[in-house]
Amino acid sequence: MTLLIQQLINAVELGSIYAMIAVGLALTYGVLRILHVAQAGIYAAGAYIGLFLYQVTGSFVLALAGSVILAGILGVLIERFVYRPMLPRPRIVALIASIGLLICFSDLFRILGGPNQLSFDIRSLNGSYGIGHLLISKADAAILGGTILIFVSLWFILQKTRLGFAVRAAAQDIETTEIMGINVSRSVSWMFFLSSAVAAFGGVMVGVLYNAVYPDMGDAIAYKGLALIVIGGFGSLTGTVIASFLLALTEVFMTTYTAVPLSREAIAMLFLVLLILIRPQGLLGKA
Amino acid sequence: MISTYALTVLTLMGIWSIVALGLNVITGYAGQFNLGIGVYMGTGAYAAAMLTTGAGLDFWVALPCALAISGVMGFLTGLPALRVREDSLAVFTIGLVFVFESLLVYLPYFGGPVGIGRIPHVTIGGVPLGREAYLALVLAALLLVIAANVYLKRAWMGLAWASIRENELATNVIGIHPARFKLYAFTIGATFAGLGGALYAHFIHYVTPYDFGFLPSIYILVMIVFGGIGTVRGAVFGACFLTLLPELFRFVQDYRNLIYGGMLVALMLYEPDGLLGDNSRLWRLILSVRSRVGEWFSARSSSRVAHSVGASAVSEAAAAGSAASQKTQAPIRVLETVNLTRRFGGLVAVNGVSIEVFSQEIFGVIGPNGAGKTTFFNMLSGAIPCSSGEIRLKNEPIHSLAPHRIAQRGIGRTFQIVRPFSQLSVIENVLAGIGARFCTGFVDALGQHHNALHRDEARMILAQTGLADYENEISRNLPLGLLRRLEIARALGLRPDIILLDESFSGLSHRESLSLLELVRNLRDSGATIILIEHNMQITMNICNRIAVLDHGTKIAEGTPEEIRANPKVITAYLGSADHA
Repeated sequence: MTLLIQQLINAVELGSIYAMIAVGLALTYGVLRILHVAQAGIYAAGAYIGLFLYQVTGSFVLALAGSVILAGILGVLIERFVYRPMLPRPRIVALIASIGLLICFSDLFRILGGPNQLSFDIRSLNGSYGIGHLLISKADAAILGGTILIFVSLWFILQKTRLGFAVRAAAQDIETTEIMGINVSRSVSWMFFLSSAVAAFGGVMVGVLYNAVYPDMGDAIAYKGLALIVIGGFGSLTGTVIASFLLALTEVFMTTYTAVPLSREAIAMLFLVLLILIRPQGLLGKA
Repeated sequence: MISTYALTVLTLMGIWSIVALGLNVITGYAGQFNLGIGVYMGTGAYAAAMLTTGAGLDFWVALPCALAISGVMGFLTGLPALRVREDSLAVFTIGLVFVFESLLVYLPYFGGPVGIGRIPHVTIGGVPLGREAYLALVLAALLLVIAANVYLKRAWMGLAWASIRENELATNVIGIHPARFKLYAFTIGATFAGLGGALYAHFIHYVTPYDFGFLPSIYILVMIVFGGIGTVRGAVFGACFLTLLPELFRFVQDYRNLIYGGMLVALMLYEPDGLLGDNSRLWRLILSVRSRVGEWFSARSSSRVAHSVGASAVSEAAAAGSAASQKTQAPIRVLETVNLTRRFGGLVAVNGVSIEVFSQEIFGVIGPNGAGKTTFFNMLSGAIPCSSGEIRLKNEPIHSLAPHRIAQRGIGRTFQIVRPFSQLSVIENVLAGIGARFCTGFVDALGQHHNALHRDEARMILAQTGLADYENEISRNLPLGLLRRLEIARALGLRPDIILLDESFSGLSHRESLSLLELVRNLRDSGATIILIEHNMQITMNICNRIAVLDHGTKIAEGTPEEIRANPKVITAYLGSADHA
């Protein structure tokens, strides 16, 4: 029973991390039709910046805030100087550039931080809370709380603010949105800021959760993120979030309770391949 | 004497070129993002390795089997292309390569993570090939694959692929089934990649799952994009250069990936067509130097160019064509709809419409906005199925056929929002229309379009539609008026029994309208049958022999322009009844 609950917590954590990456990818794809693989580089950058700031300042809150803001700015710069000039080009151009960026990022982290895993040990998050027989580590609690906070604010921004309205409008039809007098270019910058910040938040969380920050930590999640937006139905944020949690549940329970000898990546991709065969438009996509 | 090191690098360059050319077919020619080419290379490599080590076959027996297995793999993995498109398909191929890799790792049958070793040397007559001989073998294979790539681009197949790449929706209406040609591309590309894989296995002598995973697949994609996607020179150059690059960059070993990634970003920013792509600076420079050298040579030799041959051939063909299309028989019924109905949920968009269209007439379908004209048209061309009723083309029912089949049967159409094959030249657009007649089977589609016979036919159509002056213009550069003509020309390539014109006059200037009007009239006079839907009453009244008026999905009137003009129901539908006024 305790194992089951612990696994559920694990699945929810993993699912929220997937969702943090995938929601940004879905937003970017929705508005610009770019497969933003480099999002995973920003996620890893978030973890590195967070670790660095934590080592310098000793304050986790400061590290988290700094990492989220800096990664957000990084995302804005990437959009402004890499993707924007490529928008009129065939879409493979932006995809290749994005892959190039991801390769650059992981090599940069390797050069700056060394090829090995770095430990991201937050002393204040050691220990656990006991609820009856159940022990929830402080790190788990912090991550769950942070995730809820992130998704509620993201939901609020997208549904209740002018910016969110502009982003959702641009996802429907970027030209019409522009004609309607909305500053699309600024909305897109904000969108990149948001999705990069959320990804960095995810990066810091993963670093703390597994106590490890390493150069190619973004690689696997980059491709899983792409898989997730397809599974969710291109452009459907709700679908993407559902897909993230479904995938996490599948992974956690398949690796714990069954003897399928596949790696987590393979499980995710098998999930994707089967789903595309059965339901090509994705979970919540329109045919 | 070449060093062993140089031989190794050269051989690898050859092998990667072969694989890159395989991907060039799928992604370059047919325009299908494939981020998992490693699957096919790996299939070829593992098949060759297992057949020669496990089954103990000779390389020359194992090779054709490995190629066939790779081809089947390409076919099977291409099947989802029947249902998913574009980015979903691209992500699907990522999924595929991860699943492929982990199957190789986790199924003991494939040797697990260490893969398969001790792959034997290739022998000829019992004598193992040395390094030089193996290089020669690889180069021979490369030449074959290059020749195949060049051939395919000039075949109907290549033109069909280019059409799918440029505008998949428009390929259906010229009678090409996109999914089927994507399958061909996957199969052929996979076979080439498998050839590269088999040669790789017998060169390195061991294969592991990781040699064919996601990253190698991306590297191969990068090769073709780097060199210039869709071109043979680009694929080969990209493969050679990027194989050589790590060797050149040995001195910066530590920063290799950083440089590599940065280079990709910079290239996509400043030369997105690839270094040797058709629109790249370097390639244009090479072309201009080549033409200058050519001029210099031709200036030195006294040249007598007989370029009148082409022109006379065109006019002869045109004469023959118009003679053939002059039909002297009495009008026959070409198209007929019986109680054609389409419901969208509870809404009846088209309600029991019956019309008959006779040969050599222009039949207009008019009606106010929302009358169901477009739905009616889309049912005729098969874009949407009808809920009930029948459509007969020359007395044969066609309403249950797929759109490309309907086009092949002889219904050509244009689009209100034009869908040209934008990166193709004007004549290639028309050739694509002609090609549909040849793209019915795999073998037929291997026929060459790049010959005088078909070009003359295309030129004749261009002359007929007033596009002769723009033959080699890239269609993206044409103004709307000419694009509308181009869509008609493309439809004429099908030799259709009937042409559907979807609001061809909307958005045109007065002069463009008049000249298009003349074209449509001339087409009718030379034997064509035309149905047009149109908003503009004046134009419809002007050129139509007969007109049907739709209102709220129902046909409220049919007759000659004079009859329609006098019909009170029509006036009410357009201007509203006196009660409402």
